[in-house]
Amino acid sequence: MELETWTTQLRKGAAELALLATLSQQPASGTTLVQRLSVAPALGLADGTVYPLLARLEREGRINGQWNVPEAGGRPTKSYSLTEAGAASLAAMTSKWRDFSRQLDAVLEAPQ
Amino acid sequence: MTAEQRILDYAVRLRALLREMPEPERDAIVTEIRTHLQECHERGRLDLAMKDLGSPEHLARAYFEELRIEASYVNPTPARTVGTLAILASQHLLAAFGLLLCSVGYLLAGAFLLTALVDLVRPDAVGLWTGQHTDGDTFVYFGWVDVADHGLATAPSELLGPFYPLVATAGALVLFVIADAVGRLFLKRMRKPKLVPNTQ
Repeated sequence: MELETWTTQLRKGAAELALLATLSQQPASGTTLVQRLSVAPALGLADGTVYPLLARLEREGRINGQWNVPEAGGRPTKSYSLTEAGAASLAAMTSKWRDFSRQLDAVLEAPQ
Repeated sequence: MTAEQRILDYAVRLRALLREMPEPERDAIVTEIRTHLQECHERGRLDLAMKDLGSPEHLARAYFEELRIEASYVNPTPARTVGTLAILASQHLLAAFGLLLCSVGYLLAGAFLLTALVDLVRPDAVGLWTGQHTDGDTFVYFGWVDVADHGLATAPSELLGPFYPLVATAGALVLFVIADAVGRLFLKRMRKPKLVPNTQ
């Protein structure tokens, strides 16, 4: 398997976890989420990935989207927050991830 | 083209590509993306934002992949399953294979049901036939047969008699259930979120 394909698969598995974890810190709009996730470029979460993923997570009920329409007629913005189901999902995924990465690290560090 | 015109053009193209979605959902997506691009423009990163979003075609496809898979899995119907697999088949070999299997299953189920209905009206035309060719070979044939076929040594006999509609309907049901299960299985495999490579 080429490295790029493998990397894509790796990112695929981490995308939801990264997004839910970022939202657990503080509710945020899509633009803010993209900014926060830009500090981890290795995750590969570009705008074109984040927004469709947000739409799916909202439909699944794991995040809640709230429109804010300024009274003065400004630009409407949508803010996302974690739901209870999302928090439970995050906790479960985080536990799995920690187990997984710990064991993989052990395999990588084992004497050859 | 000014920045505002570029953003508007992007939004208009995206809206057109998302026309299959329910209007409220489509409006929400387009408004959100437009807001995102406007905010990025204010921070001087419109070009980067458009590059990261991908073309409207790329973004629309990503939305359809995420949302249709979810809708089809949560509330599957044969039409929705086949429709979603058809959309995904253009990019994923697995979906194309699933679409083929699923479609064949549904078509066969329909064929079985059709023969059951025809048998009610023309029992002499449809059934599970057996007979002998003039060269001595025995044949078993399902479906339509021309009773006056000159290649036969004797007139074929129908094995199931009045039970044919029941057997054919049961066969149609079994094939329908299998096709449905196969379609949902392939959609389940496609369900995981996919980081679509940005081709812009």
